[in-house]
Amino acid sequence: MAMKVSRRKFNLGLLCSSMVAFVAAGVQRLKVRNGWVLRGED
Amino acid sequence: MFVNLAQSPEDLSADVCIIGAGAAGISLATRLAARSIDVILCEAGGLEASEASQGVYRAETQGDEYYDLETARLRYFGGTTNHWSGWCRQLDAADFESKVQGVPTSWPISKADLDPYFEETGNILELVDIKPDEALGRSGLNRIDLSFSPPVRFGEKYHSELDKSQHTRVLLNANLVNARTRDHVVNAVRVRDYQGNERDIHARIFVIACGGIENSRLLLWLNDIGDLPFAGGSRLIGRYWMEHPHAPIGSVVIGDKNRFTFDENALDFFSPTAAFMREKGALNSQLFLKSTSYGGAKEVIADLLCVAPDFGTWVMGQFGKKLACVAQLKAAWEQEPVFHNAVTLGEDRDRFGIPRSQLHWTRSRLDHHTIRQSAMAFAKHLADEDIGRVKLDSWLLDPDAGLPAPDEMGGYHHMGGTRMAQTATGGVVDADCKIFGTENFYVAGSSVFPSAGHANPTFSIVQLSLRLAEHLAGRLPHAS
Ligand SMILES: Cc1cc2nc3c(=O)[nH]c(=O)nc-3n(C[C@H](O)[C@H](O)[C@H](O)COP(=O)(O)OP(=O)(O)OC[C@H]3O[C@@H](n4cnc5c(N)ncnc54)[C@H](O)[C@@H]3O)c2cc1C
Repeated sequence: MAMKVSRRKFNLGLLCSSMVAFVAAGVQRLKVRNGWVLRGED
Repeated sequence: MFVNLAQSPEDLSADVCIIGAGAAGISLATRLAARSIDVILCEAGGLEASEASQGVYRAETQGDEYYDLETARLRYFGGTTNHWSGWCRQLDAADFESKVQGVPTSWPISKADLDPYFEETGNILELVDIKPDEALGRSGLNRIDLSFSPPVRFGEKYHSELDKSQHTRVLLNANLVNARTRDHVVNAVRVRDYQGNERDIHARIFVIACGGIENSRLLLWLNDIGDLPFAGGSRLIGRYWMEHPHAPIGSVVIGDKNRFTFDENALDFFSPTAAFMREKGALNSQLFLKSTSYGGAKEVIADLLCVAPDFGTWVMGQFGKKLACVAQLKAAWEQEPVFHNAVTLGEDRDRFGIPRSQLHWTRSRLDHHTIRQSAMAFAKHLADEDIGRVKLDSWLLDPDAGLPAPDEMGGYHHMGGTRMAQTATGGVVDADCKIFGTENFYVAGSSVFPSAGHANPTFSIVQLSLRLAEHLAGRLPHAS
């Protein structure tokens, strides 16, 4: 069954930390935010 | 035939005397018996666990936090395979070579020397369908296969075969306490039971197969009390001890789980290529994904939605189509072999008067670097391909952070201490596992590993035992 989760349910302020770093990537620039290794456009 | 030491004849002799009946000792004994070689297999314990025997394993650890050594191994017939988990994998070809400049990982043998024993080892461990590795895109990682033994309990599996064999006598409650040597030849070993009964066992060849800590402890002890002619002295006995550090390292949100090949245990495995290790100056490692139910995933998704709302929202839709999943990312990796990680003799003594082991174990900067490189490559691959996102634990992102000491510290994989080398200046045993400086004293088990790769060790332990049997049969002209 499809899950019904809305972003409003999450307290973004609490969850998002300020830690942002950039790392070189093969295809495009990746970034690390709050421990997540992300694509530049994320 | 099985016999308790107290009921055994006074005069005991055989072609080969093996000390220790775990995976290494039993594989060796059965293979030698099949070649019509008479074997006495001495086992410190009985057929069941006992406090008297297990207490001998009490030991001290120093350095990084490590498991209690009294429970991390088992001291009765079948050895630690009485409670191992059965994860199996052979070492990679690159594991036998130098990987990082200045780090002594090379072996005096290559993977090709163990390959002839691959199939028989698979049969002994009851493994099926070992699949080859596949490249994971251009990530520098491979998707790898691990095999799972049922797990085979060596004591149970081989009891009847050893009992019926005309060529094997298993001596129970027989603890190695001393050895008699003349020139470079060991003539006899002395074994003792828990009531003080003793026997001398004479043989043409002796093999110590007491596990990845005891092999070092007993050789250090024999060196201290006797005149064992260890070439190069005892400087390297116990040294370069290694574990496979283990740790949970992050969480993974996967948008399309069909891009992965989760096995029946919901696991999928990855490890770096030889070229990647060389390029990054890193050792070998094993990353594994353990997929979790959605119930355990909510917090991870919530966290992802904060930092990557578009991807997070897409993943939510994929969950609806039962295509997405959340997995825990765990790792086990190769530890740098260093001189100061070592088994030494402590002050305290066991019931036989032998000093207990002291284990010094610390993880190095290279150990941190190794797992950081693989973890980053995996995370980048998922982001590059837009198939998932990885959240790494904070200690991994900071090169200066130490390694964590959570519940998982290692794999109970005890390796090194009597490392194999080309010459006595580099190790304790030669390429045939014979102790340098002796004519007829051998070591079986993972204590001979000069480096550890990332593979769980028992598969290679059995391969090495089968190879050792072949070598010993070659030394005994009547072998069939
Ligand atoms: C919880 C746990 C899980 C594990 N899971 C895995 C896994 O999934 N995959 C893997 O590859 N490995 C695993 N291992 C490691 C595996 O158990 C060992 O690699 C393997 O048992 C080593 O075989 P061995 O014969 O060298 O030593 P052991 O199996 O420890 O056998 C040594 C034998 O020597 C005897 N002995 C000791 N001292 C003396 C003495 N003085 N005189 C006579 N005999 C003596 C002991 O009683 C014992 O029977 C695990 C270990 C543990 C503890």
